[in-house]
Amino acid sequence: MTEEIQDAGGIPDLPPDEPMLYHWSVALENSLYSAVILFLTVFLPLISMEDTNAPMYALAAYAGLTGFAIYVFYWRWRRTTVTFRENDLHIFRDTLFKQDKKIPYNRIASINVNRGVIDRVLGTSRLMFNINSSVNSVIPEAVVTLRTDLADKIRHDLSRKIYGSNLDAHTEDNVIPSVVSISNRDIILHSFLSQPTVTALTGVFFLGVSIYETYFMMAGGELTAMLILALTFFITFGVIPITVQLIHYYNYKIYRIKDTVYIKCGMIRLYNTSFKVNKINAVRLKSPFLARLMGRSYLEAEVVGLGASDGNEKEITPLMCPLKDRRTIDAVMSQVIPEFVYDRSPVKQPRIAVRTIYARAAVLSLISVAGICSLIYQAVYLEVISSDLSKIFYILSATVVIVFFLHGELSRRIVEMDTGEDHFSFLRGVLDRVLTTVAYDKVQTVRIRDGPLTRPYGLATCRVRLLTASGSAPVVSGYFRAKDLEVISETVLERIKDGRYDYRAYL
Amino acid sequence: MMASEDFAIGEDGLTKDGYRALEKRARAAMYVRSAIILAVSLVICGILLIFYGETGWDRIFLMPVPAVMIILAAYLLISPAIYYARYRYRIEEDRIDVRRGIIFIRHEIVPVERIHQIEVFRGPINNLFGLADVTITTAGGLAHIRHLERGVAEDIADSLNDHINKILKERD
Repeated sequence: MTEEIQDAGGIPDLPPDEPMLYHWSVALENSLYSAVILFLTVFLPLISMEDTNAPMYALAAYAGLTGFAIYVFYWRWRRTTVTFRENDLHIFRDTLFKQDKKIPYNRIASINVNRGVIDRVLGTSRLMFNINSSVNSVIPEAVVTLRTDLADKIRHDLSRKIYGSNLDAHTEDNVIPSVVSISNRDIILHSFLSQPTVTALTGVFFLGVSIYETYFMMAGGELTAMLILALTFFITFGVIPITVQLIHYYNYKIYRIKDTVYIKCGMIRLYNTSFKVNKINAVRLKSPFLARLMGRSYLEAEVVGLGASDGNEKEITPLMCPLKDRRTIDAVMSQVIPEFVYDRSPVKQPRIAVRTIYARAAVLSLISVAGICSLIYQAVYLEVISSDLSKIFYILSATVVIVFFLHGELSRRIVEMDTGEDHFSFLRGVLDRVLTTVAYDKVQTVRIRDGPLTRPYGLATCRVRLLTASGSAPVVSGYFRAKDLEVISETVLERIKDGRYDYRAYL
Repeated sequence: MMASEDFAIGEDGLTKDGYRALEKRARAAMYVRSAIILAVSLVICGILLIFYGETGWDRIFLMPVPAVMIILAAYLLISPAIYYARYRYRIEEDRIDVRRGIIFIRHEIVPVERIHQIEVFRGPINNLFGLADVTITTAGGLAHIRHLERGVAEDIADSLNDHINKILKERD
């Protein structure tokens, strides 16, 4: 390591064209994680051995391995440098696994900031650089940890270079208001009501079982396996999804400067996400059942190149507006992403589709009833339930038929599609509805599928694949005439041919 | 969507819409693949039956097994012929168009402009019959043209690569 290399932990200004070390918190954070993992995987198993010397062995092994890990992380930190050059970002690592990575600034799709608990204590930020994805970019191309003031400066200097933003960090953070007023009360409501209905019902069901079992236990019973199971499922399907949403989107703010959208949120870890509008492939207007009853929906975007170092999917499909009324959603659409606003004139599924829908419901009913009846028979045979109780279950299994046919009938009335000049959209869902609006220019492949239940009526379904940030994100239609669906692929090809598609607009 | 007469191949080796069919040996390769899948399925089924016998459970639960195996065997026997008869592909200046399927017929369209990479792949069965698959990579996933005659696959890959390079050069 040469003397010219400077420690980013102590330098407030960006040294141009000079290699610098990451902040030392990288080595500390990695060492702490290793210490915890080694404690669980080495120390605890060793100390529980039936040997009088077990505590000594455990301590020695743990101390030795942790010390080695700390040394490796320190060594790696000392030998990894980042250089912000005139036209590219250069990361060089001179360890056993050598790395020499150059990322041209014009390839960068987004620069995001992520601050965890350790970062907040030590005053550091993680800069995440995402490039335009080829197949996917779930993981950022580079993650650089620096002092917060330096990280902010670099982010803003590069944003100016890449996006043309002229605002400094202070102005941006403190002066620019959110496009729409989103209070933390809205976020709490969003956390509860944006859950898919099936997940919410599952959570409520297991909450009910937990309460019943607890009541039974308090009345003199014992702690049952059912209570533990019900609590586990309640936490998995109820508590965790709500808490994750709440913690992630707390203090939510969204605004747009020129062609860049900025989203800031987070209760414990702070998320600063920014991306160019031309990186949005599709927007999804989602309205789960309960939220829809209250006249609320929320808006998400499908964006290319928004990888998160912690694999947080919420950063890959950023929330453009939490649960709000339609007027607020429209305000966000028109002010933040007017490119995706167009006059829709949707068409419902053709009348003939009812035959396909009912035939499908009949097939699904048959398979489901056969499966359920076989399970009930098995349960009676293994004496899990009594023969009398099984009769009730057999009758209840018939409700599956009603559910499938009701779902089919409702979907016939709800599902629609629309083909505009620059965008097309599909509305799907019965309980939870999703309106997906896609730009033709982002379509990669179009697949039209017909089967035995659709072919006789000239119907088909369409699956469109987009340039994605999360691997594969197909957009699927309902049952429409194959000719109507072929309009999508033909429009994509026509736009390429007549020049309406200009690749430069998406660089 | 194509009616059955739309799959008919004319004297020029093309359908009336200009689609091409696969070589006959592609069908043989599909049969070999089916035979291998059937053999593996029978072995797995046999192991499951032996295991089930050990449990001493009611034999009524075994009733669906022969039915499933008969349906699977019939499917594997018939499907190569149908898949072969319905497999059609067309490569034009602006698009790659593939129609395929047995029960469900899929019509896949890939704009040439969206292609990132072309790969020719030969597995052991295809190798045996002098065939190859062309895998087309786009930013939204993969598309395939399967069981092509090896020379045809190489030609398609070369011409598509040339076309993509031409597009990229024009952009530079």
